[in-house]
Amino acid sequence: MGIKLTKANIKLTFFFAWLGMSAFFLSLFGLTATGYPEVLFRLAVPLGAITVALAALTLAMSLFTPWLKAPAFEIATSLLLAGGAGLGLIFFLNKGFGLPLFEGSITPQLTNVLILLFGALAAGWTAFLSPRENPALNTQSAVKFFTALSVIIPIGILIFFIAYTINSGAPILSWRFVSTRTDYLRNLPGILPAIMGSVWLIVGATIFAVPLGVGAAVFLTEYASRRWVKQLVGVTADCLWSTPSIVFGLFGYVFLVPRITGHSTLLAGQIILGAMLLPLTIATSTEALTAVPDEYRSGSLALGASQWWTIKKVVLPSSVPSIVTGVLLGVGRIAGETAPIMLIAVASQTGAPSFFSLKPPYFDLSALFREVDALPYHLYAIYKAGVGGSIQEAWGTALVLIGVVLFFYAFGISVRSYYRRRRGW
Amino acid sequence: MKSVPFKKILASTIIAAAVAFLIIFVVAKSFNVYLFSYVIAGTIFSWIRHEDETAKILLLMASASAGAMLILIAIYLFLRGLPAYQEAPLRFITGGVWDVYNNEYSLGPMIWGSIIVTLGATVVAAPMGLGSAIFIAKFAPEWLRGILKPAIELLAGIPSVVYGFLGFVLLNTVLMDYFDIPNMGQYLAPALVLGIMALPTITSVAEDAIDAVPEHMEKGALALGVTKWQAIKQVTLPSASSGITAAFILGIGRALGETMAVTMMIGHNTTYPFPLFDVFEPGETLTSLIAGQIGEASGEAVDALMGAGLLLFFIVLVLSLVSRLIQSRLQRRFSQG
Repeated sequence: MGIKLTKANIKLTFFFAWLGMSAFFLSLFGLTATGYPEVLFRLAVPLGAITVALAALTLAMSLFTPWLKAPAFEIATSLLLAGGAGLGLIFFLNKGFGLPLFEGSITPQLTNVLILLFGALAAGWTAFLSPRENPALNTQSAVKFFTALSVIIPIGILIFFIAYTINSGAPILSWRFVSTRTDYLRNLPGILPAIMGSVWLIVGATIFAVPLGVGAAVFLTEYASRRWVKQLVGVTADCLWSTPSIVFGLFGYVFLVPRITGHSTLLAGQIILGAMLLPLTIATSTEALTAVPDEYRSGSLALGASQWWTIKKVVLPSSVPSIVTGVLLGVGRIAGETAPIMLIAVASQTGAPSFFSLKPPYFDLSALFREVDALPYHLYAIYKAGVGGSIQEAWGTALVLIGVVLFFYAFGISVRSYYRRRRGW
Repeated sequence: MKSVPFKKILASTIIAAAVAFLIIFVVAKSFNVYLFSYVIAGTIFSWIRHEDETAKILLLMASASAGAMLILIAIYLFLRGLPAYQEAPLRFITGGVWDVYNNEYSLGPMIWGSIIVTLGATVVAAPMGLGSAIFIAKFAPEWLRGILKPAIELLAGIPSVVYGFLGFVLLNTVLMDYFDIPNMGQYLAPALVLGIMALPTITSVAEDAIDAVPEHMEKGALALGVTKWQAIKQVTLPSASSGITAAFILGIGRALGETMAVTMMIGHNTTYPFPLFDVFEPGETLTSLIAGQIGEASGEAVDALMGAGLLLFFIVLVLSLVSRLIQSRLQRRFSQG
């Protein structure tokens, strides 16, 4: 009894020791990555020494104490960990080392961070290998930790990106910034043309893609009876969806541009963005229409309605929310596309397209055949001209762009979850 | 003699006019107003007279639109991309020189750059994507899943130009300033960012694959007394392995075709790195080559860039077809079992 208690206690002690070490490695990694070398240096020496001692002790214990019965994997990891920590210490004391072959590229700082990252991961893994009697459960908690980590890291990066953009872009954001065009005389940036250009691009793409996409989905779910027809359309939509955006741009450049005016036009951009939106609309609409229960259809047909009447009055209305969701998510995606429109639709320093006028005939379609500016392209144009001069404007544009995209996504996702909860089937 | 109903004649003339209009538009590059107005007017007329049949034909045409678009893209890329391959196809793909001033074009370094960057992105995205898929599908409680899935989706929603800008301002600077790497725009920085960008694709497809494995299989294993992770490792993951492979392939395709982030972060150096695996040298990929040069290119350079576009289109097409094939085989297996 007593021995068992001691065993558990010792294991628990080691567990916390490993946990502490992983915390140490992780924080050291964090410090290195964010760049506080002087704090690092003061911390590294004492903590590194403790780490080496602990690792060595564990190693000795697991080798020479039979009732601890460390598995081979644990021993190997402790070995690696001890070696890594020792190396890390040496490199910190010597200010690191680089590989001779990669001189000037694998720098001392880089090797330090890599060693620390490796140490952090190894320590994190071993931290979970000790405390329980059933080794399978230890492995499971280690796996849980690592899979959770692989969710936390990307989401952390997402939050960091958004927060950083808000922090950098907020100072310049003002009503003037989003509601006027750039005043070059007084050097006041304004992105109204880019916003309006993006709006019209999105509107045109939606007008082009939604009828086609929803129509295709209706045909596939309601009329097409053979399986290969459905599969064929599914495959083509898949291929269209995965086609790189720059290829869409190239296609527009050699196909659409010569056939419209010979130079970049809003219309060409709308059509190409519509083509990019099309496969997503087909996929989400097909899903939405398939989800409509068959009782709805048979009920309507039993009342003597024709098939088209059933589709128009019963099937489509009941799947509108899901279709709208899919379109919103797709629009959020194409709103940020730069590569396709870069070649065929945009030019910087253009005015906002205007389709309406106060004089008869009150609208003017010639804006369709002129170049526009667009938010993502505006950001790229600033980058291309050299960020140094107008970094504030670039951050402001990035913030507005992220805001627009996130708005579409948030709207789409909340509509979806609302209807999922409400809908009875 | 059986008389052909008027509506069939009308429908066939409208379709013929529409096809003729499209052919004239595509081949002769002119917008024929008469055919166009006949198609529109005829469609409106038959919509009023025979709504049901007209709707069906229109829907059929809509469902052909995606295929038509894909075929059109393929044809035009082939037409414009083929000249680059005609002279010396092997040298165009494997040669090492891209020199705009001497009109010498070969894609070797860019293909190599695409491979390095995609490999780097896969090294980042594949384990993390699979890990997050396992966590979301198996370990996360229901309420957490409701938060995590949209969050991962959001990660795919951030425009690539914003990724590129953030990467350029933050990651490139950190690599240069803090790590003392002398040259800007190495393969490493875009590879890391592309890894983050390809991750949502891998996560969502792999999660679907894991979810598609029938629950009773895992339950059976659990009933034998193994832990949850052992059941996942021995039963669920092997059954979902083809779906997970499809997810990886799709992620690779995404990373390969990603343009803006790479264009903004890479150094635009059209030579091979030395040594070949030196990810710390400035480089160029297929996509960044096209995006960076098509604006100023003329003559033979445009042909060469179209050739690069054709290659890219073809590779990504094959990748997505393969992953689709794998996914449909997976579906068939579980619908039978």
